[in-house]
Amino acid sequence: MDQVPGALSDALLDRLHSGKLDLPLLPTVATQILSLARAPDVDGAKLADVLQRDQSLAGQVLRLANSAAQGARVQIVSLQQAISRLGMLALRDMVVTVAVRGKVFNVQGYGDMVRPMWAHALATGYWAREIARARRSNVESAFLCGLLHDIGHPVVLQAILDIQRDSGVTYPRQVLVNAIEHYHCVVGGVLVNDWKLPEVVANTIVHHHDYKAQEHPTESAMITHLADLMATWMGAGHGEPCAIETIAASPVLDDLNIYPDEFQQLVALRDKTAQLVAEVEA
Amino acid sequence: MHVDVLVIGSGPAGQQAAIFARRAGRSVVVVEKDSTVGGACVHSGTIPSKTLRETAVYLAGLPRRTGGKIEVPRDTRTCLQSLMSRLEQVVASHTDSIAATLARNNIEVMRGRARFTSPHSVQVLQVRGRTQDITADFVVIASGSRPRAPGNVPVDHDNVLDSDSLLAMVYLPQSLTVLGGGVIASEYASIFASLGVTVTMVDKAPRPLMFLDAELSELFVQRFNAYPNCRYLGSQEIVEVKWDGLAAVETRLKTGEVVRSEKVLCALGRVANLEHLRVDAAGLAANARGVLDVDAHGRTAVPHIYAAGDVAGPPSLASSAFAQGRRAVCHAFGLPEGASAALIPTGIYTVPEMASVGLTEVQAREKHGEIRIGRASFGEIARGHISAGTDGMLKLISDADGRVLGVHVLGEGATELVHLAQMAMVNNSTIDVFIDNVFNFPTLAEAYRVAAERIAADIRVAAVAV
Repeated sequence: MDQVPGALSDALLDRLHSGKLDLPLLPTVATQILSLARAPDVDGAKLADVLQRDQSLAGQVLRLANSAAQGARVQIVSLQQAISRLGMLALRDMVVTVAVRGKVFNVQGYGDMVRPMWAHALATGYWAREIARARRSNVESAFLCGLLHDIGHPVVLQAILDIQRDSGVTYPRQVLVNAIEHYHCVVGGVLVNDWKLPEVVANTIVHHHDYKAQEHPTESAMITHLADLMATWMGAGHGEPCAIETIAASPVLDDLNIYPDEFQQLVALRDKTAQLVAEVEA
Repeated sequence: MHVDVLVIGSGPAGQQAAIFARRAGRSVVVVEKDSTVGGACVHSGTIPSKTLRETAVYLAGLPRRTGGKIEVPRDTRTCLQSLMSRLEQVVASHTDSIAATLARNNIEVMRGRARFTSPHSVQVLQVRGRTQDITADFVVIASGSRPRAPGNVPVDHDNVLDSDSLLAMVYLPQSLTVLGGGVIASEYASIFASLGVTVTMVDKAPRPLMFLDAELSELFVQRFNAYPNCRYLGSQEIVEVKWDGLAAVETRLKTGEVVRSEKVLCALGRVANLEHLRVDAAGLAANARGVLDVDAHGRTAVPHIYAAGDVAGPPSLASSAFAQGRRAVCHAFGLPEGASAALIPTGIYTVPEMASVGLTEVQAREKHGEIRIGRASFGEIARGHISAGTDGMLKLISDADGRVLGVHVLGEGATELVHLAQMAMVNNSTIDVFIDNVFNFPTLAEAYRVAAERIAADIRVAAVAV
């Protein structure tokens, strides 16, 4: 904490608690899709109507739907076809993926910091899915939790840049890094609550670093914690890659009840996961 | 390390085996592969599904109980997790309680995977890779079971789920195909149907829950098919299940019909957790059904090794597992084993719930020839009307002289009601016990009196005819 100047901490906390933190908005269309995906009796035509209002978003979702990462066996050539065949949850995940890359992991002038954050987010999402599968747990929310676990990183970065602009004080890059590390969980939680994503996502974002601080540690926070480590080991994103031996000694394997042979099976998925990340990143 | 009794698994069977061994003054170690005690029953089976069911029953019952004045929106995009928000507390309370009971009895729980190295010795592999050897005079294998994934059903825990992964879904699906017709399949199918999900049950049997009295399972099918867009497809053979790559899972049947749904639940049985145990090193082998053969006392082919709970095969109920664990240890130390396991009741937490104890109508006819049957509809019982549960039914079966042979109940409170008949049967009572004794009013237990009076009338008619 002493690595973050008091004035910067105060300014960040003031913005957070007074509701003045400039939370990025999802594109209107993405927000509507998120809402519609939870609505009963929504039909494909209605979703298509909403999605085609944002041609950029629609185009990227189409591209993603056709990528090998989504397991598509047939070419999707029209928006209507994509809507009718994607299913609500897959569509929601794609819209979030596309939207957060464009709206959140996009800080002017800091691409060198934000690009690795995005790569790390994607890798954590895919690792979370595999860990959940290995745990015989449902993988539905695992990807979303992994993808968004550090969404506070770019948001805190943007907030500091705003504070610098307003105060005229410029902080060294290391201070930015320290502040991002310190505040990203709480800010990420506030953001996804603002977006009205499922409670499990916000809870995971807040607790994934210190899941044991919860009264009843959730499996989702533990899975995301391990996925975060695996993504770092894979070299995806910010920071130095960690050694696999470090992860093998991590208490989270104990807590998730992953035995050595099961851990080795996960480790063997490195190439597959790296390929998925590369396909979406491309 | 040497102990008198080594128990592998801390589910219902393991708990009871360990506790009774300690009460017999023996040294005991329980080996549990998970980080907390309780087994699948607590963490992925009985407790989680019943927690969801409780919410489903209240949601479905509210409009009925208020005469339609309060409607519960049937939003299939409801967050499933919000319906189970109490689950963590329920599971934590239950595991804490089990752990406290084991600790109070001075039972050591060692975390790790057990594997036999000889008939009397086991190596425990801890989650960090360290090992510890334990020898024991007696071993109780209570390692439980997990969902079976047949080769033609690709369970990916994403689109095709099993009963372990089903409840971790974020949202209720709009549609669900349930493969199987057993207890787990029927419970989940009816729970999700009552929550407004379009559910299709597919099974090879003509009706689900074939082990139940036919009248009860036929009534269940009637009730299930009455949920909007829900149906039971019996006598079906599943050819293939596949995710279409984008939007739905297709279940292709031999008849040519393809059932499309957002999710599929594979509930086609369970397999015993034997893969890490190396039971061959103890001189044991699983039978063709993948479980360990045991005698009436739970003893395997190796006399000092017992198996209890799911690992010993049907009925695979937590209630029977408790009894099996206790009986195994009692037999090992020559202690009285208590009441016969034959009278263990069956409780099925469908919506509506079902329960039975004793003989079915077919079994009773086979065994006793002439039998008498008394039925009571909950529509004849004041409490049935009060709780808006008039669609329940109690079926009482006796021999020609009125001796109680079995009872089968469908409807609210079935799993509690059944115990009255169980006690009557334990005491070899006739149906008069339900007529001569006074029950609280208004209660659903009144159904016993109504059913018993019908049998009594039948007996009187038969006596006059003679």
